Amino acid sequence: MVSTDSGQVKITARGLSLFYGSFHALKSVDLDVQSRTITAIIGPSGCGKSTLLRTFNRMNDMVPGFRLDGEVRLDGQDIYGPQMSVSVLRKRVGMVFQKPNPFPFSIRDNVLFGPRAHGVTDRAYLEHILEQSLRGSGLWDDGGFDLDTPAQDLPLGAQQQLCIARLLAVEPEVILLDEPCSALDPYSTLHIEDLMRQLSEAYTIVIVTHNMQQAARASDRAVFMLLGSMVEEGPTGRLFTEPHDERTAEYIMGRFG
Amino acid sequence: MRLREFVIEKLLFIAALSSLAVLALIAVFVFIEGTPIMLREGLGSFLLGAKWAPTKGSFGILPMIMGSIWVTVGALLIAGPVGVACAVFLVEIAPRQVADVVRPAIQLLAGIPSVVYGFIGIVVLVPFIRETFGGPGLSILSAAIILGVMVLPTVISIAQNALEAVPVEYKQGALALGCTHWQTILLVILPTARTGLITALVLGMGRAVGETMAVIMVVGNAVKLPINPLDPARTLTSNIALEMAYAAGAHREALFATGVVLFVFIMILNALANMRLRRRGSHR
Amino acid sequence: MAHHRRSHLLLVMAIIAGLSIGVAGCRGPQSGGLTVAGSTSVQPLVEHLAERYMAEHHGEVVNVQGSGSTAGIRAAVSGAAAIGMASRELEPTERDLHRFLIAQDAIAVIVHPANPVKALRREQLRDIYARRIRDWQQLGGNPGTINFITREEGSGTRGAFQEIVMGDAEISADGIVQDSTGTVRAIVAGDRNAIGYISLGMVTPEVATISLDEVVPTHDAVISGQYPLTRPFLLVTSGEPGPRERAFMDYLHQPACQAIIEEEGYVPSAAESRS
Repeated sequence: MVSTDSGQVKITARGLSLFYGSFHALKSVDLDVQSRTITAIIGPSGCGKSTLLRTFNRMNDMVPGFRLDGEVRLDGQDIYGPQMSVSVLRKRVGMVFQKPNPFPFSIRDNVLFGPRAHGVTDRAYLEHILEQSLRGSGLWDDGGFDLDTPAQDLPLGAQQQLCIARLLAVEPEVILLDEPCSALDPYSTLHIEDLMRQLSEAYTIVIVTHNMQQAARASDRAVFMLLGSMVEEGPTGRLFTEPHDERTAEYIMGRFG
Repeated sequence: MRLREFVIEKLLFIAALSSLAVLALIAVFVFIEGTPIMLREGLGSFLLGAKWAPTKGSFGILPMIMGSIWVTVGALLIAGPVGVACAVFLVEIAPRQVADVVRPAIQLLAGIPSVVYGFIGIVVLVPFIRETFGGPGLSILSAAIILGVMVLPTVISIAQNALEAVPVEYKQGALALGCTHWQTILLVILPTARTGLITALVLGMGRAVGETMAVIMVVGNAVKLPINPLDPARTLTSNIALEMAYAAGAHREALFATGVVLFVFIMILNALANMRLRRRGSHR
Repeated sequence: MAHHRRSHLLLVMAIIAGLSIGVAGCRGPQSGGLTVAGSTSVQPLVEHLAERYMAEHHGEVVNVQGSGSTAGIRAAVSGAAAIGMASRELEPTERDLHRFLIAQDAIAVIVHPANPVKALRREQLRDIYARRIRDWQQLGGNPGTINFITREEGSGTRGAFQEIVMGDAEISADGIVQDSTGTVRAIVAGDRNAIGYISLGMVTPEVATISLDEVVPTHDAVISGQYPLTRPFLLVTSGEPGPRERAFMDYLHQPACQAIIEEEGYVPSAAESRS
């Protein structure tokens, strides 16, 4: 599982505080996200884990009253800095949502949506991207799907895979997953977890999850959040078995208990 | 309690039925009055005849059919793009405070009586068109512009509903792929709302076909096959409204027959719109 | 919105239906008011006089409705109205109605005040409306296509114009058609190349009148019978008028009413019978 540059830092957050109006959603978070690993963010509802995830691709920007202190860097580059184009950032840092949200187009048009929007017109190259992305998401091997099928006709699990394929097509470096399995059945969930494992060989993955078992099974490192603060971060095995902080222990006990 | 429920239900049913009965009565009446002359003159020569001189026994309504089509299509060419653009602006771009002012203002447009539109048309638009493009000014172009504005509230409000019905997840999905706001609108929101937008156009078209007063005032009403948008023309509705008061005998029947044609026109448009709506309903 | 439109259409249809049912069917007795219906040209005048009549004859109610000459005559025949109003001479098929002349109206030919053409012969006017003369230059005016405006088929004003000016010639289908005096006047007032015809009583300074066969349409010229383009304002009843109808119609011939008719710009029937 350990690949060449694994262990290098991909995303850094320093003194990251985030406000929605007067609500203090993130409190001075310091975090390093390592390259080509799976980092799970866990914690109770409303602890700020999704908010933290969304600061990495600036999806919080449009929320009314949004304000941010501190800095977030991607490969050392300030993503909230003036040189950073949001459009380019989001191509590099892709996102998969809680509820599968394929566009109401065919499978083909979904996967090729990103490349076409970003100006790729060469047919052969598009076909190549299509196959690569579908292979990467596992949909190709699952097979049997006519590429002209409307995406909405797929089972939910396959829809989520399609969303991943759609993401891979724009060749991201980081994949953010916001509770990607909460709408899926257990079988599809395992399928997505396997997929994450494969993808982590080439991509940096950050996943927010409610599901402790999932975090324990599928992540390399884990982050525990509580009331907008980061309580603890470390290798998943260690964090789950020997938490340094009492609050982490309590939460994990409670959830497993 | 049961009895009361029963009575209320039946009363509501009768109320619903009575509006249907009115529709049926009107349809039957118009058809009874209008069809004999079509059969007598021959459907072909009635619908495709180019000469309308009802007091001298010529009953061809092709000029009016063409007039209606020209004016309606023209109105849609104006109201379609402007209406959809306006709806996109209101739903996607305008800050809430702006939208809250613009929305009611647009709906106010719908409340202006058509005579007022017609009057503004005669006093402002017609002279402008005459001086800018030539011709008599009273023309298909004038009518299309006036009608386009009149139809705008319909198109905008239905287009707005269609755009608002696009799930926010689609929008997020596109943004998360690095699309700009404009790309998101163009590539995801508009295609997703397509059926609703077409419905908006069809309903706008229905309203345009049926409008009478303002059209009579600015379209010129000449019974001639129009060949360019600066020509005056006569629409089906204006033909009826212009001559009904004076008409007797075969002339009156011919006007009812014009009504039949108009009736069929509008029924087809409404059926199209309903089909669209239903298909969209089942899609969701 | 959709509902608005649909109900609008239904309303129009319902009115059409109601009108025709009314005209065709009911012959109910006249209860309460005296209904006078017909020509929209005659309507304002009769309305005005009816108000006076009601003020002077306590308890009598007169309803005046404008629906067009032909519709008015039909209403009188069917009994839907006690009295019909017409702004044209009766046609041969309508001759068995009782005809009562209240005034004579002149039709003025109007152009934009800036139009240098001030006089036309009847043949020239006919040729304009038959589209044989197409440009003002042919008439000594400034170059420009003549935009000629006519009234709708069946209008009393158009009927008189057709009979007196056009004769057997047809009014060209290229003409602009408008269904009211007001819009004809508004269009001519705004277009230097337009020509139209309206009731002399409705002429305002926004438009200029044209002399026809060298006769300027003035009140005196109409009374003296020199101005050719005139038509009658008629009231008609089916058979001999009853006492209530007779009372109202006779009232219109009283000197006070004739004076009002003259003030409004029409020629009272008494004056016409003198000439």
